[in-house]
Amino acid sequence: METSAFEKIIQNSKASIYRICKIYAVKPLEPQDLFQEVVLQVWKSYASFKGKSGVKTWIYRIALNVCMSSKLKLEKHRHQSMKLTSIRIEAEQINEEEKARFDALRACINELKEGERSLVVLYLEELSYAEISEILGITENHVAVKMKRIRKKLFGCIIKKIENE
Amino acid sequence: MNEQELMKIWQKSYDLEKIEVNLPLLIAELRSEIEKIDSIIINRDRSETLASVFGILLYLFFLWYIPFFWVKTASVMMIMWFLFVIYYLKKTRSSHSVDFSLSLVEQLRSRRQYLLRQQKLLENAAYWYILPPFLINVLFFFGVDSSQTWDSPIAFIFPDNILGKTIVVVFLAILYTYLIWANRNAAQSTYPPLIESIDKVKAELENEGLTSN
Repeated sequence: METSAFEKIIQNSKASIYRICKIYAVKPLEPQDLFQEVVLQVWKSYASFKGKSGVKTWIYRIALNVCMSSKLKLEKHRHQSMKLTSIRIEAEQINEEEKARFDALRACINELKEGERSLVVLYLEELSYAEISEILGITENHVAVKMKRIRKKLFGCIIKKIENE
Repeated sequence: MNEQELMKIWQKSYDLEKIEVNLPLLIAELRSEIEKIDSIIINRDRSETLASVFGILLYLFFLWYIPFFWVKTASVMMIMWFLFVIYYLKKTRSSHSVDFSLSLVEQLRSRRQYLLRQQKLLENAAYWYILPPFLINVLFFFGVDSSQTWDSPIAFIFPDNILGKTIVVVFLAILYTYLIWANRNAAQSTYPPLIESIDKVKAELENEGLTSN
């Protein structure tokens, strides 16, 4: 395994991975537990990565698959046992307004169906419909149709939540 | 609120809580974690194989030591069954390796197939894991010929009258019936909810359109 390439991948995608983990982590699991599992799977899959899809698509596939498996409890007892000291959370100075807005967004995402949630996190990551289609394994047309409806739901929900604050 | 503002809330959420990764240490930790996972799998496989090897050695001893034809036949059958179990478990496990780099729909499809196979394995345990050793044991205990004298320090373990043999077989029947029930119960309570949740997500993603290749 070429360690410098792996380091570069993690360095470049850690923010995206962590944002997705924040949506999928369900107590008692913390987002960093899921993050560790994603990093472990990236490391394990790297040797077989043939570059058929782009690195970005590949990383999102792994992150989403790990998070979904955890959410559906397909991999029991896996995350709790692993504690990587090399990964730490740095709490920044909290901007209350930003936090409240993100909490509202997270609450709205959590109101969506599981399948819709996987679409919306990729959309929020600013991926194109073609990339989303490749990550999820559904047609681009289907992504567009679904996103139209999900966007409407999401905006309706967040506007209501923010107005109520 | 517009699309840009929504994206901004999402992107900025990382600024509230950042992940710091010590990359050289991470690589060392990942290597050791993989070694740990591999050694757990190797130890589990080894202990299962050792249990079967112990069973094979025990029945090889019976085959050599006990003079009765039907006991020898049962011992050979039991050895074959132990070999079959080692092969079957190895084959079942080797067919499952999770590839997290598949698309989400492919991943869910492959997980579903694996869970269905596991459920079937437990539900059918009666036919390949429980009934064969039960029937072989019946043959084994009834194979001890009461009409022949067998002078051996271990002869007392094997009942030589019908009542004693029946008691052993009834005890085994109760034990094996419990095992069948426990396996079926585990198959019914563990797998259907997981398969159902996978089906639900798949349907949410796939309806109104065709999946891409």
